[in-house]
Amino acid sequence: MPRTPDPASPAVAVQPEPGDCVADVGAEVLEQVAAHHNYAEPPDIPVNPEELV
Amino acid sequence: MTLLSFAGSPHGGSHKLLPEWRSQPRITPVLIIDHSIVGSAIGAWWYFHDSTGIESHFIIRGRRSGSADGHIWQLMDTDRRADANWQANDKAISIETEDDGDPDTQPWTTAQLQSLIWLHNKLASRYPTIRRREATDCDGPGLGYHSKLGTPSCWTPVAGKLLAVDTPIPTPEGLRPLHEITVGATVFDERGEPCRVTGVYDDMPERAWRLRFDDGLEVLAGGEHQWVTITRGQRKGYFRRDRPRDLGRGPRPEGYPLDWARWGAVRDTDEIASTLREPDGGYRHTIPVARPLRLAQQDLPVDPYLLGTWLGDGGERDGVIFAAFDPDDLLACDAEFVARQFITAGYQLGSWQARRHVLTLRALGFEGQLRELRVLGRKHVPGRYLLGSAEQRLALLQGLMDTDGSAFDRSHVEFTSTSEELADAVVWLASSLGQRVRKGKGEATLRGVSFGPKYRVGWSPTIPVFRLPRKLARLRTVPSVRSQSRAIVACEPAPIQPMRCLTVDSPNSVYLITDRCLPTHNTCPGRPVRVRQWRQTLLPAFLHPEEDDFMALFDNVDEFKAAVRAVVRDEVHQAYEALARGEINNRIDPNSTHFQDSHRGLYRQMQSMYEALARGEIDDRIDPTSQHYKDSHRALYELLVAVAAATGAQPPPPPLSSSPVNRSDAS
Repeated sequence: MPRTPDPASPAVAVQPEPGDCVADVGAEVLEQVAAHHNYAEPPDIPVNPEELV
Repeated sequence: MTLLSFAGSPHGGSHKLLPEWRSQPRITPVLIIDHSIVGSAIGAWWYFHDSTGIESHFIIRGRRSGSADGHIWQLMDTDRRADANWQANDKAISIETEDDGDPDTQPWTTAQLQSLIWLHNKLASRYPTIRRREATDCDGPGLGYHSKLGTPSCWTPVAGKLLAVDTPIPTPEGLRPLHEITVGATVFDERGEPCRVTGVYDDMPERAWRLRFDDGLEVLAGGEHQWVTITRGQRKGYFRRDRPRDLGRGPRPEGYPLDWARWGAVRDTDEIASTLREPDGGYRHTIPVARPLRLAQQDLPVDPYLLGTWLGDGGERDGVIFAAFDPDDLLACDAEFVARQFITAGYQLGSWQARRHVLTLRALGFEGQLRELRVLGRKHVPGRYLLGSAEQRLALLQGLMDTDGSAFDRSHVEFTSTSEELADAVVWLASSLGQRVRKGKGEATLRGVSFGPKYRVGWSPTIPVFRLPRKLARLRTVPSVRSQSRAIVACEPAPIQPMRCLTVDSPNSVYLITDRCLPTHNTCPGRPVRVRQWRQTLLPAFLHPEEDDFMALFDNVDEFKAAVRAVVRDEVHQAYEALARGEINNRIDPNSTHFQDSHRGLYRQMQSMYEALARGEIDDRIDPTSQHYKDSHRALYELLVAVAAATGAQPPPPPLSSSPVNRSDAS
């Protein structure tokens, strides 16, 4: 299902087939996607420590 | 909601939640499925993020991430579905692991293994529905890796590695086309041992190749189909003994080791096609021949040697056998030898007739047996004779070769017949006994008159393929190395066609194809190196979490290797020197043969282990985090302790002790 569309991302051009996992995408595409985001670390999402298990 | 606390995790963790982390449908996890990204963690995270419709619950960073190696990212609430496991999405937690895009050869780092073990155990504690077992079918439960059930399977729709569907496969029931092989069928591995087919998959490959070997064998395979090949450099390194550094390596081996498939490398057909030749034009890839197939002894009505003799030199419609006869030297002629074989097999000889230099022999009851075998009038080898034990197959081959075979020089023999059926039988018999044969076709002529085609099967034997003393004497006793492997000499594009692949449960994931018994790798369900790590390290740690304290004993692989080297270097040599000084306990006379033999044997054993370590083979062939390595290391330690006890020397420090690590001579 669509989540947070980023039409400019190289990821959009390589849509997976049903049942694919990221291994089917290829290192080259992932590199392009990472470069598109300037190799930025994904954002940390604050969580409530008391809810962690 | 289940978000993990990473307190206590070996390399920490953080929550890098995807936008859909809590909007996906709810699940009850019963499975953990490990994956390899084939790329970077950052690239994968952003790929998941950017509207692609797939995701994973976790990513474990790897070597590429530098000091963050082993760090865990949680991307999804594990009570919610992540789309990574096709039909198992509703029941599986998926863990992606970073690599440099080459997980086929790049193992998980020690830090990744430590984090995987921690995470598996954490999830199994959180979800009692995830049972501590190996997942063996679509619904689990337990621990698996993405391609474990095959490619494609219910966990992934992506196809595996393929061979043409009509490729013949040796089975205990004979050669069967690949398209007839089903799950549960028995095939053979490169050691000639039976193994079981655990998966069968059909698909169209993206590329197809026709591989040609130097014995004329041709095989159609998909670009991703895998082989275990030995490169020319590896082969030379193993066999050569002409360099100063080869001193002490013992005599030149007569053949490839039984476990060659463990030190060869797994390569797909695409890679072989692009690396076919060495820079000097020589062929790069060879595949050793398989060992003789272990088939059950058959109840055969006619002695196989005598059947082979009749097939070669017998009357087409009766039971007579024609054999060379020398009236001046009765004891040395072929006829005397054949007659003796009949008598040894329990036959009574009947009438005989000598004409010029040919003796016509009859054995009582032999013709009736041939009639029952339905070979009179149509000479051929009955199926059960082709599927006898190795001894029975060799006897049949010897009968055929003693009559229709020749020894041209000390290294080459040839079988010639106008019957292609008999020639094909010889191809199978010899190949199933570990021989590399070549089949050719020519024209049979006699005094310039053509009698149609003739078929020739030639090879350099590594076994006694004759019984006749005069032929046997021409064979040399030491087989050539070249006769024990096939070189890949061509790899040409072929039309794409439906293909099939198998998975088997043989120890090295190898099985045999074609009537030449060519070893090939199965469609490896996953990345070869990581699958081995998964089976040797991750699965045991998951099944027996209470026993796995091994990883905590060392911080990194280099330290571990240095410790092993230091122990071996110091203790082996100290122990050996103590032995050399005769410092063994009083009960054994140091001058006795027993002592000398033990001393030499012990030294050879230790020296070979030490040299293997010094050559760095520990790095290439054995995963230091594997159970196999742990067992080997412990076995070595126990040996050293035993030597120390026998010599009265100080026992070596226990495995993984930090004491020898910092010694200056440790490397």
